[in-house]
Amino acid sequence: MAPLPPALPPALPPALPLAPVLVVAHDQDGLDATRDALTFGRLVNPVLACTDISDVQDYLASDEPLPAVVVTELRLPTGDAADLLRLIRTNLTTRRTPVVVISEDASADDISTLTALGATAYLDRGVAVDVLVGVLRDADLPWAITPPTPPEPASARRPLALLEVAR
Amino acid sequence: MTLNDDFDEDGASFPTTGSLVEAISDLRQICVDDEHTLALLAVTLSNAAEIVDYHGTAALESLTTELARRMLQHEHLPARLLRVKPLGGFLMVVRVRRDMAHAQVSHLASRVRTLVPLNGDLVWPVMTVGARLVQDGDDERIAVQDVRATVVRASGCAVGDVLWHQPGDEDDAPFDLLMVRDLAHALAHDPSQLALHYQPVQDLRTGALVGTEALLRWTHPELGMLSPAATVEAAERSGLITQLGRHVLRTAAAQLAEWRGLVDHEFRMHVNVSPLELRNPEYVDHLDAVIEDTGISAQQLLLEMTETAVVSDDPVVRRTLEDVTNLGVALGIDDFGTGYSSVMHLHRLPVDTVKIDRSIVANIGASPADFQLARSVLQLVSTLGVRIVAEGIESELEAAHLRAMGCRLGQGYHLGRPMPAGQLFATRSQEADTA
Repeated sequence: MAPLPPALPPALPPALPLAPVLVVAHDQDGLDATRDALTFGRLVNPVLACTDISDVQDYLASDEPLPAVVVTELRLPTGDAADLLRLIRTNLTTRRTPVVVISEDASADDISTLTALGATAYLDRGVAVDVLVGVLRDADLPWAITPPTPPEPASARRPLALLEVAR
Repeated sequence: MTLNDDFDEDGASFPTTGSLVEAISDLRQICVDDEHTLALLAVTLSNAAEIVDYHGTAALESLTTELARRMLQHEHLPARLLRVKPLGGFLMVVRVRRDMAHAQVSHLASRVRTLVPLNGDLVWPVMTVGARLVQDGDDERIAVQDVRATVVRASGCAVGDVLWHQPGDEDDAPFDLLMVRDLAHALAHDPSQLALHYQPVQDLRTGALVGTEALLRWTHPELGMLSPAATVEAAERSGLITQLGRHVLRTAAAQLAEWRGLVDHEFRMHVNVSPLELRNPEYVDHLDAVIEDTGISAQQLLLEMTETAVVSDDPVVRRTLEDVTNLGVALGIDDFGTGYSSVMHLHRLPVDTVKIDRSIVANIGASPADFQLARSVLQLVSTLGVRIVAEGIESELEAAHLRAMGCRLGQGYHLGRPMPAGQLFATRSQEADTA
């Protein structure tokens, strides 16, 4: 009897567009630091930047894909991460979206408030670059944050991180 | 000088320190000059028990004699035997040069330390030596006392080696003796000195009180508050640990019973247990009796022990741990990350809770490397499917970082210091009122 032909590998599902990571920071340094953190962590999701709470509000009101995660500075031009959390938690579509807050000088009260408002994590800037993506992966994300698997042929590989700034 | 048997001379006389002191004092007059002095050596065979098990007591005696003989036959170091204990020990005095006493004694000991033929076999004598120089003006009686204390100390920290008496060593012994005496007194007649303080174990996210660790506070009538570590150490060395452990267990259980109505059924009382207690086959019976007497639910009790205690190969300990779990009492591993146990060991044991040691938590607020290490430890332990409590949380930042790693429960000064039972719920309701 002729040997059976080897089974074909199952076809890969068509790649879904990855949900973006929304970075909220008003100054370039904070933005760069968070971007670096995501890039070092080999995160392939697109990264979008908002500079203030009103930006986020506009973004959520648009037809753009919902963010998988929001990473925000504690202090923002108008208000702080607590105000942003109130916005995100009261928005029906984002009420469960993980929100990570980064700062270098949060007081114990700041941190307690953020926790009470449902922040997923607070990270000190000193460790954030190195640990952010690990923390995102540990957080119970509903969808999207995925490591780059399975490996694709080199020609088809996506760029490591798609960075674009939506202003 | 030759082997001397002064305590056999008049047959019936019992060897006393008095006769030793006389012998040393006589030798001092003969041997001590500007260049030379005497060194007292207390020698013990640290593997005597094994030798007896294997070759018998007669063999041990001949081995001891052989070692003593070798010590006395050094060509340049005249020595004299003062006492021989048939069960593997002797006390001798050797004339050494003042400027190189340590080197000479080391040399002597190393020359003696070779394989000894015994019953057609070869035996390695694990010879532990305590040494003390008899300086001019020293009291012989104190010198003998010191050298005996030194060899006991050497058996703990310098097995198979020479340990010299250090001035100041003698301060410990009477203090230990006093501690033990006072501890025994407190246990028997004044247990109120041995109070428990309770440190909250909290849910890091909600701040809810999920349990408390009972911590021993001994208020000594003269010395004041003593550290729990020192108290437990003294108890372990003196055999008082069983009594102390029982006192702690009973007090904590009674307190838990008193809190009925204030705490829910998932609230846990953490009680520390010494590995020595677990070696006592009656431990479980006592535990059972305490649960019965106080009417607490076994599930609310958690016995904390160190990794080393739990991975013990001692069959009695293993049996005790099994019986404890069969009662429904939970087992917790304290100070995880400081010992040598592997996750494999824990995997095979009915462990309910693992407490991550403060040293792993200490620097996670500032150092990315320490953050990653703590996160890895948490991930590793979480594969066991146990509850994890992070110890030693000292700031809100550390608590936040632990939450970010997915750690649910914590304990530490930042969350609440150990406090008397009455304050635990009082402070919490105050906090709730102000919040």
